[in-house]
Amino acid sequence: MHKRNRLFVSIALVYGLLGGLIAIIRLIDPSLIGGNVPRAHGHIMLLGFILMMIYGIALHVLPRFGGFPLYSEQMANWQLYCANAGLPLMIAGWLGWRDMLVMAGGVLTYGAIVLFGLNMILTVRTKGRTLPVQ
Amino acid sequence: MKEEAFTRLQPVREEAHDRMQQMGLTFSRDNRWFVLAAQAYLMLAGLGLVLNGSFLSDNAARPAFLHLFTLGFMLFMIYGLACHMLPRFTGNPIREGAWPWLQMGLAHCGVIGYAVGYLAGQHTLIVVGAVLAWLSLAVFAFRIWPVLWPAEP
Repeated sequence: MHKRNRLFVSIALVYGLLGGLIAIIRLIDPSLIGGNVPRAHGHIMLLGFILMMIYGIALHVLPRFGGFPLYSEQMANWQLYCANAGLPLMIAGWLGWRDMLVMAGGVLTYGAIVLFGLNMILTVRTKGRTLPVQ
Repeated sequence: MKEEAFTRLQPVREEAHDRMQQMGLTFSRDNRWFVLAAQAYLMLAGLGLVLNGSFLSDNAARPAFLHLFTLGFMLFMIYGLACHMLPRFTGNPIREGAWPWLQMGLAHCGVIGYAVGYLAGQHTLIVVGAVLAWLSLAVFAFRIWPVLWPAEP
């Protein structure tokens, strides 16, 4: 498994634990963490935990299931950078009531989504490769 | 001629199939239970659609059905599939023994406690459920970490 894909899964685990932790802290005492905690929690779990897990596993299996190598390793690397630059900015924006940070983070996160989507479309393709008959 | 060849090859094909199963292509017992439980939680979460008209209803039951879907269905599917696939993708073993069952017990108690807590209006039960679900995630991370980053020999 490529190191980048293992990083995606590892980071997903960290986000999952972080997202759960801030929700628990808010449940115990809402005054302990300021900002829009429910929104931050929802996005940490969905974009951080679920989506990063899907990124890591899909980048590994879809080229194999599709029968073609990954279209661009560089796109996948930039997807990792954008996703992990975007989400912390969004979290900081919600917890600190800074809309500009949320917007900047959202753009970067969307960039990662587009990079992943295009890379997968160009990797899986509509027809599998036909193997020669032995 | 062709049919005869296929007939002669049948025992070999069956043997290859059996060998694949012995190699561990099929789910282990714990992962089978994770995936099965996920389907049960999906059906429970779906009741929210019937009772409230939406997963994201405006009443007090909103977090209960939402988390039956996210924690019950999505998380259990991730547990079952990731614990099955990642060791095969990386070639590194996952922590077994009592760990998967501890993870499963914590997750079940967590999801049920959290959902029942919201439906019954019991704040303590909600917090206990959330903590147990979080602990199950911590156990999952503990099991998966050496699969992704094995210790150097």
